[in-house]
Amino acid sequence: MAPVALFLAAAFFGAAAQDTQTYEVRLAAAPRDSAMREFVAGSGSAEVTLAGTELTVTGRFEGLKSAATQANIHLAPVTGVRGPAVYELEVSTASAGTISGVFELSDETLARLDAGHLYIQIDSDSAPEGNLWGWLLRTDR
Amino acid sequence: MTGGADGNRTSHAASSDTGIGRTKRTVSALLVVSCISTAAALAQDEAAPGAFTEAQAAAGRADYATYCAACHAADLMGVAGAPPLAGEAFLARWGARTIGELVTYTGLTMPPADAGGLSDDEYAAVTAYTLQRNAAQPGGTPLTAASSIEIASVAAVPPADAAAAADADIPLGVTVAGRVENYEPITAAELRNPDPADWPMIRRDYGASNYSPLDQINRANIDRLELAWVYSMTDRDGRDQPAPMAYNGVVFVNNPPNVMQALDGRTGELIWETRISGPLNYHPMRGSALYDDKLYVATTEAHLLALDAATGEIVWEAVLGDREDGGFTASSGPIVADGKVLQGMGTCQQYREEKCFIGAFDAATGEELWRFETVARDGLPGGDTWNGLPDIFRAGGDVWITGSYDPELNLAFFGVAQAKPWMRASRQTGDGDALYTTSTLAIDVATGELAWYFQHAPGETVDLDEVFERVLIDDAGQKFVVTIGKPGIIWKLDRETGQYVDHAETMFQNVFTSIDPETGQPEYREDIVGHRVGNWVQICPGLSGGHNWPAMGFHKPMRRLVIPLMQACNELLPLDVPLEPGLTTVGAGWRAYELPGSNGNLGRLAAFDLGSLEEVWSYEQRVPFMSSALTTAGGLVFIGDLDRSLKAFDVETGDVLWRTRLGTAVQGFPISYAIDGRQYVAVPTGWGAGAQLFYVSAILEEPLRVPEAGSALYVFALEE
Repeated sequence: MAPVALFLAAAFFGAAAQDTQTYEVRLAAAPRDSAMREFVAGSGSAEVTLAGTELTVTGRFEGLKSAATQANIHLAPVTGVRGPAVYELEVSTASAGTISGVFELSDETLARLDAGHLYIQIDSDSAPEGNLWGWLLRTDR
Repeated sequence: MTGGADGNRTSHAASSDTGIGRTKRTVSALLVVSCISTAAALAQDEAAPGAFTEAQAAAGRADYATYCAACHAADLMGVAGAPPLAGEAFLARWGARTIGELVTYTGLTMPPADAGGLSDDEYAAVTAYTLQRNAAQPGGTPLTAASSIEIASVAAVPPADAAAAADADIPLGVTVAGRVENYEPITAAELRNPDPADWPMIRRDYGASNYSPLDQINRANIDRLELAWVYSMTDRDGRDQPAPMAYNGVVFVNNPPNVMQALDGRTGELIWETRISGPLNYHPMRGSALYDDKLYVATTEAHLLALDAATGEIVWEAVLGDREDGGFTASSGPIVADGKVLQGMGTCQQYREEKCFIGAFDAATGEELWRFETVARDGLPGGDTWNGLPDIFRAGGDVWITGSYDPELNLAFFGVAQAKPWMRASRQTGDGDALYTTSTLAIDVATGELAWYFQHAPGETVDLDEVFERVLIDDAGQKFVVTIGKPGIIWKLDRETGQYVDHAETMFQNVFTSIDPETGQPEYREDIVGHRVGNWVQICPGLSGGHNWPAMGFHKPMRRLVIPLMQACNELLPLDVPLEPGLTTVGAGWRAYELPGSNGNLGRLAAFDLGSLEEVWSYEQRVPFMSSALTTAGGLVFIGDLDRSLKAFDVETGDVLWRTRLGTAVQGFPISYAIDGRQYVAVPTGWGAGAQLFYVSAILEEPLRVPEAGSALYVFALEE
């Protein structure tokens, strides 16, 4: 996204910062081929609420082929593309369980959230590069 | 509008090696194997006994299923660009080389997602299994990468090919004799302006509208639609995407592999059947064409034939290409324009001197009149767009979808697929445009000369074809050609000049950061053009498109484009592809995932206003649509999906008005025709649709059971 657009998105978001925004996140298999179905599997969902600058995540997952090892919110360069982990979530270290976390977002991260660049990813023993993932996307557009 | 997932799901794999379609052939296959084993054994007598052990082959079987079958298929015959590892094609490439070379090559390049990631024992085991499937016999000596045994000395045509060879005992030529009584040769004028009762070519008319002017079946009475007849087509391995035609009460339909049938359109009675030689190679026959007293068809091995439309007898046969360096395929089917049969080619990814082309053949005699190569050679116009690569390493440019034709301009319009290997880093084309790949071509039918081209994605680099249907529409005094490719972008061009007019994105895409509103020139995401061998790149939409071969319908009265779409993404891994003559590869590994924001709905049908290109309605579902969108003057859109559902939509609102479920995936090109005032809707079913099925199997959490048997033509009409 161009810097100007980022600035405008941030400015817009600053004005609406006191509003509450809810994201319903579908957690589905991270990129895999047919053979990887044996170790990259499962499903889940998360509800993400933004109140002011505070982001609250609660979710559940099931059906992993091995125990979850970590869960994070990642920051992508663009929607649909992998990016680095930026916020660590609490996660059940099992094949089914919950995720949760509360974070304070910077203005820049708020703008990136608004642009759809944040996603949740759960890793597991058998899928350390991503077992489930799901994108935080606004549905009111 | 959002629809839920349709249909039942089971825990069976979608493309199981033990599917129904294969099971019914087991007995005959066993008989063939027993016959062949003698020949194979004789072949082994002259070879070094036992190039591998039984244990290695057994281990390799499991490893193959885990690491290889997704691309090379359970029967080793290859899908989605992965070459076959069994049969004549495999032996042609590897027969003269050593087992050690095969082990080494496999270790360097496979599996695409993790090249070199298996152990030495696993590579040896997979190679042992591959050889076993090519009729090589185990012995007491373990296979290693040091083996200097020539592959041809231990391997032979495997049982699978032997089965096909045995099927060669089935007589070729006219296998069911009959005559279409009072067949009236179809004229050029009729092709330009088909009778409303007819559907004389793929997508019905030269403009590829997929629109029938019949309105007896309409929104008010669709609930009275019932099955009139059904005819089972040949159930054979192979991709089944037929485009039936209807002319003067007769339905002509192609079946895999290379079978044409003529059916009474009222009763489904078989009139004649012609079987044409050609391999089962997982390339479908889509279209065929009618002109004068002949029916034209291209086979899976890129032979072009004219049959007597009344009797099915072969009148002439031409071969596309010189075939000095290997074979080609043809899946698009021909179109007849100005007395010429125009045909494109597939399987163009091989590094070879001969390039793929669009050819014109005299409709009466089969004489080749001209050819236009889709890859620009060095020294010719566009030849400086390949980064200086020698001609032999300029590959791709397949034309695997039938073109369109404007008789007034005498121009034919074709889409050209991407360059091969898929990714710039693999094919070494730098930032060159690689003409004429990923382009719309307008070709002068009289001369074969290029009138103009528009390259939708110069230097395309992530397998996003722009090869699909070119819909010719006159609107507001302008002549347009409209198309949509895998990126899911509708393109509107001036078809007289090739000038860009407009575009619209139909779904989320992250491949292009911008498209110039004046020129239509796209700007790639920086990391896509900057990719390097060995680094994954994520793209939305992915290899399946966006949009794929299931063609759009243009509802003329409402000026709406009704477009089948698929919502999936891929990450791609560019591989290091050696510049080696004869090599055949797309040069990339892949993984698939859901399109962000799609809520897991892979299938989507959406209508767009022709003028504004704005979306009018959209319908989503879990499984992808697998047929073209047939629109009718009755205000309906008929379309089928992978989960065996056939639906009729209201073209105005997008509401589902009627649905039923058929024997297997509803795929191919539905048509509508009329006989004595009664309207029919004919819908093909079949298996093995290619990319959609392939990528869906990676994404869906609950695999669909899609019967491999069940290829048929279902014909519906209102109850009498």
